[in-house]
Amino acid sequence: MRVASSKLYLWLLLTVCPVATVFAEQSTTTPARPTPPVDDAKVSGTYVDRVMEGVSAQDESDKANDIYDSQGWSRGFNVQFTRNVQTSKDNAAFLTGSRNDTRTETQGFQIDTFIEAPNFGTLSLQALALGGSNVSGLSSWTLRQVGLPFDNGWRADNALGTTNLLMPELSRRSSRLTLPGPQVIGASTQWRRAGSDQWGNDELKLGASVGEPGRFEGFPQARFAGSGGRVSSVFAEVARGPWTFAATAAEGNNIVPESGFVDTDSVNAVKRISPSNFYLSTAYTDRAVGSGVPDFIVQLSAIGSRADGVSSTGIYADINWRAGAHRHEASVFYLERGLMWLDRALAADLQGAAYRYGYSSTQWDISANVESFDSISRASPRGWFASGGTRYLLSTKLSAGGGFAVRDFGGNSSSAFAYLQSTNSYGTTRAQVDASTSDNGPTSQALTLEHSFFTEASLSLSTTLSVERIKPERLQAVNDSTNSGFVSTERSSQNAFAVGLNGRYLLTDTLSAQANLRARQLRNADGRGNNDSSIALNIGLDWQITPSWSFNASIYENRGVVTDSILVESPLATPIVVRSRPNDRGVFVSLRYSIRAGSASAPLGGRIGGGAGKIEGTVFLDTNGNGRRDGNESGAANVVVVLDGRYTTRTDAIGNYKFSDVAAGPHALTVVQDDLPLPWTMDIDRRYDAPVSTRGTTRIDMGAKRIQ
Amino acid sequence: MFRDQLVNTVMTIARLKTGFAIAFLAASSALLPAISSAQSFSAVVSPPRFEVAVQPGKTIRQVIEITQASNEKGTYRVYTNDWTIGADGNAQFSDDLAPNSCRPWVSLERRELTIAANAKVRFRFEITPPADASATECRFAIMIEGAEQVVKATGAMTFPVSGRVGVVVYAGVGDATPRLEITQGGTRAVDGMIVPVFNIKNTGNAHGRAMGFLKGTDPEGLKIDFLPEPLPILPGQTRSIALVPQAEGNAALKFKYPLNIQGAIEWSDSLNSKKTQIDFRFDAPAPASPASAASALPTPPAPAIKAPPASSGTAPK
Repeated sequence: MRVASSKLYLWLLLTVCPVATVFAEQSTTTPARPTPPVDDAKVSGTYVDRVMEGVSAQDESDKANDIYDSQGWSRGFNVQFTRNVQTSKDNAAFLTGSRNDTRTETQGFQIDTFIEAPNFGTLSLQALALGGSNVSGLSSWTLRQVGLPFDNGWRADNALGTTNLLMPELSRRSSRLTLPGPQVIGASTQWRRAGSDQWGNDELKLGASVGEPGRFEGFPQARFAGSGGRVSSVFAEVARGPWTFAATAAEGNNIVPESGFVDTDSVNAVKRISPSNFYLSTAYTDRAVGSGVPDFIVQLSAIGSRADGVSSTGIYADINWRAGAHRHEASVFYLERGLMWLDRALAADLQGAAYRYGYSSTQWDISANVESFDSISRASPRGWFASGGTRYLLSTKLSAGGGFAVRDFGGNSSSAFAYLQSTNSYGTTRAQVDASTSDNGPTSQALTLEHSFFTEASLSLSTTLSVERIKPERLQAVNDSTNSGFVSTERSSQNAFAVGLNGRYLLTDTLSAQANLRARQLRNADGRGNNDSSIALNIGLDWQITPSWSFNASIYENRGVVTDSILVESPLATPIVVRSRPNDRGVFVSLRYSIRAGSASAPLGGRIGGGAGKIEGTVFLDTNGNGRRDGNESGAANVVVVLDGRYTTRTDAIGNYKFSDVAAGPHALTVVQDDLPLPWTMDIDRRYDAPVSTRGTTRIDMGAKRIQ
Repeated sequence: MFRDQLVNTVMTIARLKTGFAIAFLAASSALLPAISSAQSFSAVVSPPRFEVAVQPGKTIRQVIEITQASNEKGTYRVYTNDWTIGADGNAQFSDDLAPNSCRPWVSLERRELTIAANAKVRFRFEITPPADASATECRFAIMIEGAEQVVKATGAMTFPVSGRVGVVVYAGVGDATPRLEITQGGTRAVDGMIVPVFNIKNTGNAHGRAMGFLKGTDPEGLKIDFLPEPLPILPGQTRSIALVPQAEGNAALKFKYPLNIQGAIEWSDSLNSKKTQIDFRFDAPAPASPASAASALPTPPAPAIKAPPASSGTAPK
């Protein structure tokens, strides 16, 4: 094969290019020997490039023979078979050294398919069914219909199955107080209308949703686990000029508060609640001329919640403005105790004010934040929180930065970091020091080195090394059958050493390997007691067998809890419930088939996905001139009918015509009278109005009159 | 970040250039009853350029990722070109072997390439300078050209559809390095704004680029950040490099002359990094005639994409 290719190569060069003959001789006799630059005198004609020898080129020709079927509606179909063999034990068993491992084998079958149906939006179905030693049945499924068009600019998005409780966009705009939309298994519908209506609104959105709350759990095959009960919401949001208004009502019935949803085994023991909520907000937005970027925003929001007999109200107002590279945000807030949004706890029992500042330029990035708090219930003394950060580009290859956070509210805590980052011929290196301290909590100091290597295109590699000194918290929470509260502990300092690696290597065009590792070893400084270690490892192989078929295999192991740096957070931040993950190891394989076909089409006179209907009718010979087709009047065959002066069709043998996919809205029809048989004609300027409604059929009969 | 911008630029320009023919076809199809399906140029190429180093007698292998961003397969011809920067600042590409060309040091994985719909191919090439090669910079371009399709419309009309994209390669051989000498230039119009200009001469044996952060101060004390255009300056070439003012947030860019500009110009090849401190004063530009103002407009910073057989190009990266 190699000899044959060399001969072919030689033949090509000899016949195509005399100049290249010099190189052909050299490359065939001493293939590995490089060729010097050519002399000026030898330069003439078109050059033929050398071809690498000893390299098995990946032949894509066979795969390229797969012909895309562009006929029909745009559609896609993915199906995936998975198998996971896992050995796991919970953290308690791991810490006690128990060997009671639990082995599970799970098979999965997943479908993900869609079709863009003109006039009916994009229909999609996603479903995962699992079967195995500890789970079986449909684990999650969602049927969606997105972009269902209606007349007058309305469009609807519908979902059935695993979805989110709907919320207005305004509820996510405030940087400090956003409302979560819980995941549910249920149904949702959202209707939106863009463009001015008869009331002067520029945009109107309406939505409603209902379902059983829950969350996804499990790795790597996540299933939706409902927690019982029901939540529902309705909202309306309207934009009118610079003003936007939103109103939402939500309620839950017999649901589990998220903070109590820690262990699925104890769900039944958690006290259930039936909360009700409202949210009202209005915003005024002034946008920069040209760019459309908001320059000035004022927003006033109110939240009300009632759960477990406790009624709470929260009011939040903020104002944002920009001046050149300077960004400002000032806020005042009043958040009563017990404030919740359905099953989620929000920042509560706080009143105060906050100011944020930001600056960005070519070399500088600066941010600062100051917040002042007071406990409404007087449970805590007045306090404050401040944070800041900066990054400065010393040159195009060297940057430095740092930041801090200090909190004096319900105890003192602080953290700070500084870094230096350099780009050199080996890649990008970053060195960072972190320190944190708190009154009774842990303190730590850490040094971290990160490096991302400059590598050839087929390889990416980044590494992390970290050393840390930790002094555990002096007070430790105790909550068992005999004691509840805090006890003083005297634990010695600990030293931690952590490594991280993330890499991917393309073995061939269709085969790649990847690895991700995070490991941490924790040792007591005095050498006594147990040493803790944690590891999160995933090694995988991806193989694109054909354009449609792909295979993935990975092994994984998760032991202990790999923690991130200790964070000092604002009391305004929404409390996060940290969930532990069982220790596990396993093998996961998947085989996937994926295919797409069809092409998106736009209706005549419209755009892709727009609402459309039909226009049909007859061109007939109006014998008696009454403008209607009577039983004894025949159709005019092979006459060209023109829609909007652009699109044409011909009548059939009995005079019928049809435009089957026309954008909703006003249209006009004309007839090319030259096609009419003599002595029949139509008024040259006659235009037939043909209004089309979404999914409707407009019938227009057009009569030709006899030339007098 | 700038690398991402370059990739985006290549992708965008490739689509724009080839899209012209497609747009023309689409426009034509509204007038004509039927038109045959055609293969369009749909290759997305990454990275848009290579800056590598190789020692004499050694071989370096690099990979271009070519993605067929289409629901149809693509057939391409792959070949090298020599290129240089013309007097107008645009790249000139040549199939013919240029004097002292290093293309004979280059081997391609293959000359023809067929890529399945929506598939990605890693195309390899090697550079092997001879053992006795002196320090120099090997510059060439790898051209990926769509197989020309003749699209037949009902009737007698036909349209040739094709396109190509070029990946510029700079390979420093041995101790090749740029050596930039920066002198004050005048001013010129960039996007309707009169901006200061440096004249940069490269006396080294590898290409260089001017980078860095410069501070400008106008007569009223207004501070403006400037960035030099990141255009290549080839060995032996003197190139006019504009200093582009950077707007801060939503602030309008307004400054007056005379303008004092200070800071460090960084220039480097892939391995070396050097700085030249500058402190220049730019006076108000003399009123220009419309004709001369038009000629002072900068060339668009776009990669080389041309429908064959034209051999001229735009500014290389």
